[in-house]
Amino acid sequence: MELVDISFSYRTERGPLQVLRGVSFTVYEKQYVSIVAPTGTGKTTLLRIIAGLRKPDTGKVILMGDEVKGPTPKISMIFQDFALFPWLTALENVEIALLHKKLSKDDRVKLARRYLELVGLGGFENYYPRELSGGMKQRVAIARALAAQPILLLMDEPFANLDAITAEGLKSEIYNMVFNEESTVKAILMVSHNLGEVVELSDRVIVLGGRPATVIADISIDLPRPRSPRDKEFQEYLDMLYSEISKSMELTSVVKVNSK
Amino acid sequence: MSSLGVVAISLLATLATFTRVAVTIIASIITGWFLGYAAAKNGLVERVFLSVTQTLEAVPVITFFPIVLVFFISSIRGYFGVELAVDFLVFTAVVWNIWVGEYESIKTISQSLEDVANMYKLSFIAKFSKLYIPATIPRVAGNVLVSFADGLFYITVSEVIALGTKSYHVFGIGSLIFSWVNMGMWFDAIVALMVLVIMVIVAVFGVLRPFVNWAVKYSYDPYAEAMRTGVRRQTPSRIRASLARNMRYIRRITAAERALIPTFVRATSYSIYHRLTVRPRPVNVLTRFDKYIAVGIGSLLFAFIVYGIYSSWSTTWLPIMINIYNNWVTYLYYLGLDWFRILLVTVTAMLVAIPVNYLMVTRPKLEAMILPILEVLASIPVSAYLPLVAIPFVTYLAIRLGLRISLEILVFIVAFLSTAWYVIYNMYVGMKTIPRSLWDVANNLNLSTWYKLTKLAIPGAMPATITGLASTVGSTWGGLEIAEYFQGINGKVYMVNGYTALMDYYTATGNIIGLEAMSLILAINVILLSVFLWRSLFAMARQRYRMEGAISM
Repeated sequence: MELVDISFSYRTERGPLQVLRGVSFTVYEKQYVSIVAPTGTGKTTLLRIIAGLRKPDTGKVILMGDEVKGPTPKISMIFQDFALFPWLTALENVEIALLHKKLSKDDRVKLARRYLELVGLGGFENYYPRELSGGMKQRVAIARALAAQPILLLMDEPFANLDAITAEGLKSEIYNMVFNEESTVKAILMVSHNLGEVVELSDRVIVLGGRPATVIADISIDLPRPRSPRDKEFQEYLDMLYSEISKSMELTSVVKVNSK
Repeated sequence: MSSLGVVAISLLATLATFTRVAVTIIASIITGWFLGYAAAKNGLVERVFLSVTQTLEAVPVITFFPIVLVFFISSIRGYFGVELAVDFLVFTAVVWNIWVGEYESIKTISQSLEDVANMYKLSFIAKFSKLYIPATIPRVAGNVLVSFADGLFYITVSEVIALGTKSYHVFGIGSLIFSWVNMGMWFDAIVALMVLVIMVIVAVFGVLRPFVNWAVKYSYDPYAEAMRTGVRRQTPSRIRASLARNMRYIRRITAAERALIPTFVRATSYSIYHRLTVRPRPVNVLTRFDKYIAVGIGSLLFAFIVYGIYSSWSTTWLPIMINIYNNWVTYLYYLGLDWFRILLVTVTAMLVAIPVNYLMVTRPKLEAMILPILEVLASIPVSAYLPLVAIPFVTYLAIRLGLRISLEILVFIVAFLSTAWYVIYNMYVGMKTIPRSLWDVANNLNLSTWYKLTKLAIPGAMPATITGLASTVGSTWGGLEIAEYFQGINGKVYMVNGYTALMDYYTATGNIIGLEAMSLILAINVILLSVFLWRSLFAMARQRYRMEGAISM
């Protein structure tokens, strides 16, 4: 997946407000890439642009050689608020991702069941979202995202709405859930503001900063998995990220002062 | 007629009336999906939709009924024309709440759900059936009880209309009771009223309440946004918890959350709460095709309604203007009188509502007792039993106080009965949604009842009360309309000096021009009020009484 020179502005009452300028980077196969940035830098907007849910002002998104021109199941997204349809059961929620493939009802149910089992929710098919815990909800959302058989998986703060213990459990499993023989996912792009989880999970970290935001750092994390926050190297990466982030925040605030 | 026959005919008539209400409610729901969608997705449609609904919501539809009748009878002749006119009237009474509710539900669907639907390429039909329609269900459930009560009120009045020497009837419980009273068949009329009351109870507890309970399935969190900031969660979850009470598979709700709130109020409060929490959201990315379909359907419906209103006016504008020129002093004076009555009724209703609600909110046992009673009382239309009680009441009182004053008292009571429930409910919702922690603080600081009322309960209830005011005024007009002028036995007419009384008189004497003139003035009056009064009142309520953590608007 390649991002070429993406710029984006919000229309506000006081005229356009540019949030992204000339953002370019490439995500390669089998990579788990994270985007970190201070709040309000347009991370979520960037993900939505990549998913084809929003059109950028300039630039384009290229997936396996083809330009992404609109929403497509090839790029699946997992949301911070889970985005489950409250009136549909867990199984029906996963089926949503399969509706566009003209499958028979039986095949669709069978496939949806398989993905629910893959995320460890076998037996919970007929539960409604409100009857599930936060972690289970996010698992349903992951099952749905995988069921669409995407090439690229986008995750917008996937662990932010979970309690710390549940988040830990899910983090330790997510890598294997997604990069697994049954999954079609070739790469993951995650947005997060939790640097610990970023170092724990990612192969590469992209730091956005400034206003409008641009890529200010691109760091590879070369650590064996599973990773432990107690490792010295883990801490070094963490420190490095923190310093990049504070640089980017300085950048942001300097721009703010100047624009006044 | 045998008493069994009386019961059978009353039953049939009640069913006929209920069917009309049901059909119009269902029609409102279905049209609302498309209109609400069109408004939520298109800025221009939205602006038109909002100003039209906000204006028409506060319109006392019933006062325009004769005009509607003239239009329908002249364009569609015979019984069918009258039937359509009656249905149209009920439609205009029930539709606004439902439409606005559906629009707001669609508008507030969380962005991520829409993203999911787009990402997985849901077809237009799939989007409607999986996303938009389910999202509107809780609000529809919230409005359906109110709409039912409203619809019953208006239909029982409109089933009989005398226009000049001609009198138009459609078969229904309203016309049945009316004609039996007119023929002096008191016993039969009382039986018919009893049948109506029982049927209302059956409908509320047998059909509507289960519907609301079922709708809980759809009521997840329309507050995904609210959850993010945390605090606002308390109220919806409490309301949701009580909504969910009857659902067998909800096991995890804590005992404390199972507040006993009867269905009607639950539903209303859900609906009003949701209404207050609506926030604007940017227009979404949608395929053009989707947009055009929905916008097309929505605009067509809208154009049809506007045409209907327009065509009844187009031929007679000059005589109408002359009529207005000759009578404007009288008209304005009577209009002033009626507004004064409305003000009096509304203020009284509020004064009653404050202690009642305060007691209910602070004493759960009382709440459990009072609310089901209100729930049933609210659904029994005053208009159905008015013909039965009006004459005995006035006759009795007139001996002591004189006819004029007793008529005024009757008007006041009827208008009060048509309004009070709505004022009570709206305020109840407001008080109910004050965060628990604020009550705790008040108790903790040992505030007196007076301070709790004036510093917490009343200001906390203000936004909901004021937001509900526009529609309660509509109901008050309805009450005035039926009570200011009514026919006794032998064609004797009782009336007070009032705007709706004069309209009724014009209707009865077939003075169509005068009627149209008065309708026009009233329409202008209502629109002006909507623009200058309601909007600024709402804005005031939003700014002044906004409560962090309770209701955000």
